[in-house]
Amino acid sequence: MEFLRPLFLLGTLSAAIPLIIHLSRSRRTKKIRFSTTRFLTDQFLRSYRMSRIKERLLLLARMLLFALFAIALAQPFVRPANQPLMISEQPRTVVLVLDNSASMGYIEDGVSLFDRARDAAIEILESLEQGDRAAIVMAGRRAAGPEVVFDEPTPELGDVRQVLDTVQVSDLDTDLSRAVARAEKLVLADSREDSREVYVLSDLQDSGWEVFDESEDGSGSLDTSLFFVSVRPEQPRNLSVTAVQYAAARPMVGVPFTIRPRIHNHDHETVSSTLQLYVDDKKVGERQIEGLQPGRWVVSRFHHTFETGGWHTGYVQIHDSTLAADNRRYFAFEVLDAVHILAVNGAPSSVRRLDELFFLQAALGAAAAGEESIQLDIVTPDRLANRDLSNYPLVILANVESMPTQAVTELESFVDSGGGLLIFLGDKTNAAFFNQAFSGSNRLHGGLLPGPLIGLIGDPDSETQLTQIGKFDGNHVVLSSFDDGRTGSFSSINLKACWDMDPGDASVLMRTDSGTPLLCEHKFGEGTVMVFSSTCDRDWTNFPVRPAYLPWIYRLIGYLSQDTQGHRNFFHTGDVVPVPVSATTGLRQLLVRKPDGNIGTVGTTDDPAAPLAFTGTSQAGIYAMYPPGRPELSEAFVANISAYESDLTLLDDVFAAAPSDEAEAESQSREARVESAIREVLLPGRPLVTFVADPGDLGAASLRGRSGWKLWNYVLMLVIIVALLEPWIANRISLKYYGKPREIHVPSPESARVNQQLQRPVSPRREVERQEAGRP
Amino acid sequence: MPTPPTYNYLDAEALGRLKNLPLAARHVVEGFFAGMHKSPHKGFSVEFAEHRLYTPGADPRHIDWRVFGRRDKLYVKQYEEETSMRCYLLLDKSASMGYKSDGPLTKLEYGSFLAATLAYLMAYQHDAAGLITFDDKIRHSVPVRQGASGLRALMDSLENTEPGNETNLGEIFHQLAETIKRRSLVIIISDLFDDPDAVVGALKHFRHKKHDVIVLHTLDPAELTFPFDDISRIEDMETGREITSDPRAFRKGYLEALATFLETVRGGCLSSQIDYAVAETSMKFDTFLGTYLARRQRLTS
Repeated sequence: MEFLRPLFLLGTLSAAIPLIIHLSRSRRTKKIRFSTTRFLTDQFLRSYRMSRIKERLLLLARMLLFALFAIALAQPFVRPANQPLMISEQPRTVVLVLDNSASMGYIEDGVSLFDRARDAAIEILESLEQGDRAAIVMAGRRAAGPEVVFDEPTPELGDVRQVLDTVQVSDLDTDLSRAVARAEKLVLADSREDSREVYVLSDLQDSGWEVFDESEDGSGSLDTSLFFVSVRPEQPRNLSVTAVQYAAARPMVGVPFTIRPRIHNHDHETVSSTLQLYVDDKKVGERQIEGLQPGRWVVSRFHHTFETGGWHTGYVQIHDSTLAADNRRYFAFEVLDAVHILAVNGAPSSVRRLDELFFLQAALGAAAAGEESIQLDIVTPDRLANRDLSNYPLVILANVESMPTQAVTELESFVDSGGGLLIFLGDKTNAAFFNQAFSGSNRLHGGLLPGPLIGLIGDPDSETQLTQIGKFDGNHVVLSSFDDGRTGSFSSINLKACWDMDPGDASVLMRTDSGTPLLCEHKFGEGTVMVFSSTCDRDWTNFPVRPAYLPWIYRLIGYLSQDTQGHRNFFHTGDVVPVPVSATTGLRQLLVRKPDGNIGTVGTTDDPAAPLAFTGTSQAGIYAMYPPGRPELSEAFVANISAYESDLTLLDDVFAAAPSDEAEAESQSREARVESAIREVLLPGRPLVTFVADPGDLGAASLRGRSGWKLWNYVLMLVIIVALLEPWIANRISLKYYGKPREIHVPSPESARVNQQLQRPVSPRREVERQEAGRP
Repeated sequence: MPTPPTYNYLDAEALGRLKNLPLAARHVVEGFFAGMHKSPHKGFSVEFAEHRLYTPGADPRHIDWRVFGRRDKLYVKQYEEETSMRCYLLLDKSASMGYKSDGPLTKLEYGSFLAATLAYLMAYQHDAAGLITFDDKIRHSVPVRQGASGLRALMDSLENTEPGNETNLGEIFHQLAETIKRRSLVIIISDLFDDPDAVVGALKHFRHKKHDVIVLHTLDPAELTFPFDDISRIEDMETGREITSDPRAFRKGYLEALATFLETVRGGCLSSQIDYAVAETSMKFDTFLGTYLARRQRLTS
C-alpha cells in the first residue's frame, strides 16, 4: 500500500489518546472494607466481566477511529501489479504533453520520433470514451511558455484528434519541466472528480528538464497520474553543427572574414562527413571532417570575402541523416561598404602627431591602399551644426570641449534615429557643459551621456601611470576576441588620467583596475552611444601605440557603424526578438518574412524595455524584417537551434545508470529505477508516476497506472461507520452498568404507608371478641 | 423515673445526645405499653381474656351463665393475668454489624443503644426483657427477667458484645422461634444481610408461633447510598471476599440489588404483619425510637 500524503500517517499516533485516557482512569484502585458484598452477585460480576470485554472493544473502536481517520487523510492506494484490475469508473481527464522539439525530428528506421509520439498520443486518445476530456500541451521551448492548444480539456475528442493529425515537429528547444507543470495545472481545470492523467510523450532529453520555481505555474494534485512515455532512438547517433564563431560582428567588403564552425559527434562511433559553407544560397566552401571520434568535437575554418556591402545571409551545413534539424547553422551579416564616419576634432593641431585624431586616423588607415573601408570626415565642433548627419552611420567626438546647442539637438536626433556616437574625453572636456547638455532629465532619453561626469582622476601632466585596464566584458562582440588574447591584450596599457563618470543604467564594458568606468555603452533610442573616459591619443594613455588599439578601434567602429539589428541578429528558436523603438518613430509597423516564406508581424509587448517585439521564431532559418511595402529596407536576423538540442543524452539513460550498490541494481529493473528516479528527482512528492519504456506497452501501462484502488474513500466510510457505532455501544454499556440506579425506598418510622400496613397488636379483649364471633 | 444506672449504652455523655433520656423514656414507655398489659398504676381495668371449661374446685363466681345458656355446658371466665410482658431482644452481632462509614457508631453499637434503651424502658414498666446475641450461632443469651438484676445482666452482655462471624439469620430465627415457648414480643435488631427469602421465612415462623415481631433493620447510610465513586476493590467484612470492578459499575449494581433486597424484606414483613422500620445509623437513636414508638402508640391507641 502507498500513500499520497504519507505525512498524515503521523496522525495515527493520536490513537493513543483514548488508551491514555483509559489507563489513567484505570489507575485508581482504591480499596475499602465494606459490610457486605452479597449484593454484588456472581451474576452481576459475570455480567460485568462481559461488559469489560465490551469496554475493551469500545476502546479499540475509539483507537481505530483516530487511526483510520489519519490513514484516510494520508490517502492510501494500492497498485497491484500483474493482477486483474479494478478500473476506475470515473470519467477521465487526459492532458497529452507532446514533445515537438527539434530532437524529436530524429529519424530511426525511416520514422521520426515525433511520428511515433504522435501515434502513441492517438492511441491514448482512442482509449477515451464519451464524457472524457482531453487537452494538448506542446513541450517546445518558447519565451511565452509552452503552447497550450486548448485552454481547458475539451470533450470534443475529434478536435483533439485533428490537432494531433496536423501538428508537426518544430525547431524549438525542449522545455519538458514547464510543459508538465502546465499540463498538471490544466488537468485540474475544474473540480470534477475525474481520473486525472498526464501523458508525457517525449524522448526525455536530459537538457529538456530543468528546475524552476513551480509557483509560476502552480503545483499539481497528488492524485494526478503521470505517465512518462519514452519515445527514443535505440542508440542515439548525431552529428551536429553546435556553434559557429565569426571573426567580427560586422564584416567589411573586401576583408577576408573568418567563419569557424564547431562540429560535435554525439555518436558512439567515429564518423566522417562533409562540411559546407553557403553564402547567399551559394556553396562557397567545403571541408572534409575525417575520423571524428565519439563524443569529440572539432572546429573547422572557412574564409570568405564579401564583395559587396549590405545584408548577406548563409549557413554552415554538415551531412547527417539522423537528426537533420541541427545540421545547419545560419548567419546574417550586414557587410560594411566603405564607411564614412564623421569625426569632431576637439583639439586639432598643425603638428600631426599632436593632433587629437592622429592615432585614430592612423589606425583606420592601416588597410592597404585602395582598400580603405573606413573613411573619416573631420570637422571642428563649431562646424558640426552645418553637417548633415544622416550621411554617416557614426559620429566620433574626440576631446570636444563644447558645441552649439543646435548641434547637440541634432546629435540627439541622429542617435535616436539609429546612428552611433563614440565619445572620447580628454583635457578639453568641459564637464559643466557635458553635464548640462549631454546629461539630465531635461534631455531626450536623459541625455547622450549615460550619467554626469564626476571629475578628473589622475594627473595628465604626470609621468607616472595612474592605472591600467582592469576588468572588461569579454562577452561583448567588440571585446570578445581580447578575452583569449588572440587580437591583443590590454595588459600593457597604462593610463595617467581619466574622467570618472556615473554610468547610470549603461553597460560598463571596460574598467580601470581601480574600478573606474572606462568604456560605457548606452542605448539611446534606436542608436547607441559609447563613451571612452580617456583620450584617443597619447596625451593620457599609451593605448594608441599598443597593438591592441587597432583591432579595438576597428571593432568599436564596426560595431557602432552597423545597423540597429546587426548587433543583435542572432537568436535561438523560440526567442523573442526585440525591436528598438525611437522617440521619433515610435511603435512602427513592421513585417517579418519567416524561413518558410510566410509573413508575420511585429507586435507590442508589456515589457517596457522592449515594447515592440517579434515572437514567431519557432523555425530555424533566416528572417527578414521590413516596413510594409518596403522589402528593400529589410534587415535580416537568424534563429538557430539551441546547441543543447543536439545533445541526445536521455533521462532514462541517466537514471538507469547502474547504482553503486550492486544489490540494489539487481533488485530493481531498469524501468523501476527510472520510474523511481523520476518520482524522487524530477517530481518529488508525486507518488502516481509511471515510466513507460516502450510506447507499445502504453495501453497496459495506462491501465496499471491509473487503476488500482484508491482506498481513502473506503477508509473514510469505515470511519463514519465506526463513528456512528461508537456512541451506540458506549451508550448501551453506560446505561447498563453506569447509569443512575433505580430509586430505593427506605421505609422510615414516618412512613404512612408502612404504618398503615402495621396491624395493631392483638389485645386479650379483641381476641375474645374474635373468638366469640367464631363460636356458636 | 428513677435515675438510670450507669451503663455504656445508657451513658448520656457517651451517647451524646441522650440528655433527655429519662423524659423520652417515660414517653416511650407510656405510649408503648398502654393497652398491652396491665399497668401498675391504679385505675386501669382488668380485661377479660378467654373461657375455659368449669372443673370442680374452680371459683363459681366466674361462671359465664350466658355461655351455659347457649351451650348447656359450664364455662368460667378467665381474666388477663396481670403479668409483665415478655420481650426478647435479638441483637445481630455478625461481622457486618461492625461496619460504620462516617458516623460515630457502628451498626452493632447503634443496635446496642436501641436494645439497651428498650430493655431499660421495659424494666421501668416492670416488664421482662431478655437478650440474645447471635451471628452464625447464638452466642449469648440473657434470660427474660424483670427488675434491675435482669437489666444489669442484659447491659453487661451488651457491653461485652463484639462483632463476630458470618451471618446465618434464617437458621437462627427458626431455632429461636421454636425455642421461645410463650407468646412474646420479639424485637430483632439486625442488618438482615442474609438470603432475604430465608429471612422472611424465618420471621414468619415467629408469627406462626403467635409472637409479636418488630424488625428494626439497622443500616449504615453508606450501605443505603453507596457513595463511593472511586472504589475499584471491595473486601467483604464477613467473608473476606474481594471483588475488583469499575467504581461506577459497583454503585449501580449494588444499589439495584439493595433495592430488591429491601423490597423483599419489607414486603415479606408487611405481609406477615411484622412491624418493620429501617433504623439508619445516621439518625440519632433516640430520635428514631421516639418517632417510631410515637407512631406505633397512635396506631395502637
